[in-house]
Amino acid sequence: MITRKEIEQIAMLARLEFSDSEMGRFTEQFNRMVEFVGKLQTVETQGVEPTSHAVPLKTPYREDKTGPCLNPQEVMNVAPDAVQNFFRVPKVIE
Amino acid sequence: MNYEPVIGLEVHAQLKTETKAFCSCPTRFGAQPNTQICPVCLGLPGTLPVLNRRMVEFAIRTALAFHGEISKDSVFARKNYFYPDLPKGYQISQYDRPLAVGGYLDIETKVPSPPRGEGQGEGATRRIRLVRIHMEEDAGKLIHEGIPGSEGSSFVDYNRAGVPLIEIVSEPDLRSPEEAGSYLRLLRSVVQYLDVCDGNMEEGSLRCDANVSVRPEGSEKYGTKVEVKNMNSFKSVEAAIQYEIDRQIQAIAAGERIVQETRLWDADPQKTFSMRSKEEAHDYRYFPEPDLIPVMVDAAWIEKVQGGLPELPDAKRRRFVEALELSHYDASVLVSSKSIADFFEKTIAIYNKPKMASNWILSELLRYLHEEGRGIEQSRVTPQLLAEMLRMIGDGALSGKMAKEIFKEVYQTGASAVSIVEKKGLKQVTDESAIAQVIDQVLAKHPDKVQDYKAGKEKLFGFFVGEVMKATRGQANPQKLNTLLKTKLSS
Ligand SMILES: [Zn+2]
Repeated sequence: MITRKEIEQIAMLARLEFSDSEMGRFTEQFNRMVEFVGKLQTVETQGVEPTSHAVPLKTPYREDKTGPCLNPQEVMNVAPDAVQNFFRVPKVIE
Repeated sequence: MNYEPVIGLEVHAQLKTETKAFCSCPTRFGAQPNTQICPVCLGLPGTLPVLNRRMVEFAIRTALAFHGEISKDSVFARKNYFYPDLPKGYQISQYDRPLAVGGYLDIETKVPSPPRGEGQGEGATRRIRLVRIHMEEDAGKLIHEGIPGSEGSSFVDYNRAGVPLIEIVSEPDLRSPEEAGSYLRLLRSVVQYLDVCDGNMEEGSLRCDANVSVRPEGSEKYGTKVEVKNMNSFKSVEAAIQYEIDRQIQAIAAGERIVQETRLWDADPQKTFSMRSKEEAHDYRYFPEPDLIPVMVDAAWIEKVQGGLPELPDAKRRRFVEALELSHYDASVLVSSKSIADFFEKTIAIYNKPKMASNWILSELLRYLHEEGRGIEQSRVTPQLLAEMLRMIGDGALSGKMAKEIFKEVYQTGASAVSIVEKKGLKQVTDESAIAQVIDQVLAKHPDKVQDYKAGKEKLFGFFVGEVMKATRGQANPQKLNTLLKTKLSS
């Protein structure tokens, strides 16, 4: 059972803000989703290797060779805020 | 009550690859801000990471050197949190399926803490077990001051974002700040031998966090642990751990409870401070990175990397003691850094007198370098120059005493001992007739003393040696002088 408190926590972690009615709706929808996915709990998985990817593929590797980088001036021109080729953000130190 | 400290270390080592973990941006340290960035490491929409083969190889190499077990299919995971140094809003790391598990380091410890000590005194070691070694990407660098308009702002340089790291996590097997120091020094020396990390703590290519707790001596249960961060030298790691141990013991003695938290070390005033942490900060919501498939490492690859491992400090030290007959202590100092060991081995490859080379490197060269705060890599004395001087001593062309003076000049100027000796006219007198001539002069000057000597005052021998040395400005070959003087006095 997903509580409204958990929805609030998840929204906070994702830095999302919702209205009161949205919170209520999401709580109900989340519970329906969890219930649906919960059917998987009935499957017998004893001794089955966990799957982290659905398709068996060989790891594609990249050789350790340098390639082109972006031009910092061009990047700064489209950055929300920049000073002297640094991105500027609100102060994060306490 | 006596308390026992319990310490575990988490070490991040930056791998010496040319390019980042998942894109082809260079990793060079000290580049202009934001000149080594691309759409992948900036996390722009629509980009995909592609794994750097050398990153995996370096991680395997390290894990094998520490006797870890390599996973045949390890998995990258997303560690989610919001902070401006993390352009994507998550760090690509490994979580429940790391590249390697287990392994250990045998550290040298003068005072093995019972009952875990294995042996005592010189060469005693303690095994510190590893939990795991995993791969991840570094975050960018935040700058908080020194830039115009910095009021209320922080500045971000993403050159470091995406640089490959390995994290080496130890079990809480360390029992003192000194042991933590020797563990860290050994770890650094091994990654340098492996050539996977340059091990520079000041530049941040090697970083160390410590988990510290204390418990009543004899107790098996762990106390509440505190994570200490922000140490950027071996000294500060040891000092921060010592401070934290003392703080916890005092708190417990005062009836307080230790709070599980993260504390930051501040070198000035040498204290740890609580980092006000919000509870949700640790909710990283790890999940498998959908943009990367599992890292498959087959037996052939592991075997190939294993075959290419260099001789590591432990094995090298054993060889120096057994094959070259160096003392345990001297061998330990020589192998403590790869560059010192390399210097020594290059020197004896040119002139094969290991004990002599070791003595000169340890007592003279390292002392001068230390006084100047230089590393052996920046030494003006090369193995070639040292070997040349040792050969002159070995051939009797230079006395040990003269050599010390000459060496000082070789060290300062980088000139060869041969050229300095020639310039100063200091060549040791080995020509027997020349020495004999001086002896004759000395004996003629002191007929009374010769008489006394012959009458049994054998102590006077030293007096004659001194006089001959004075007359030759210390340049007479001592062995030849002794033999000649004895013959002359007994005739
Ligand atoms: Zn990049």
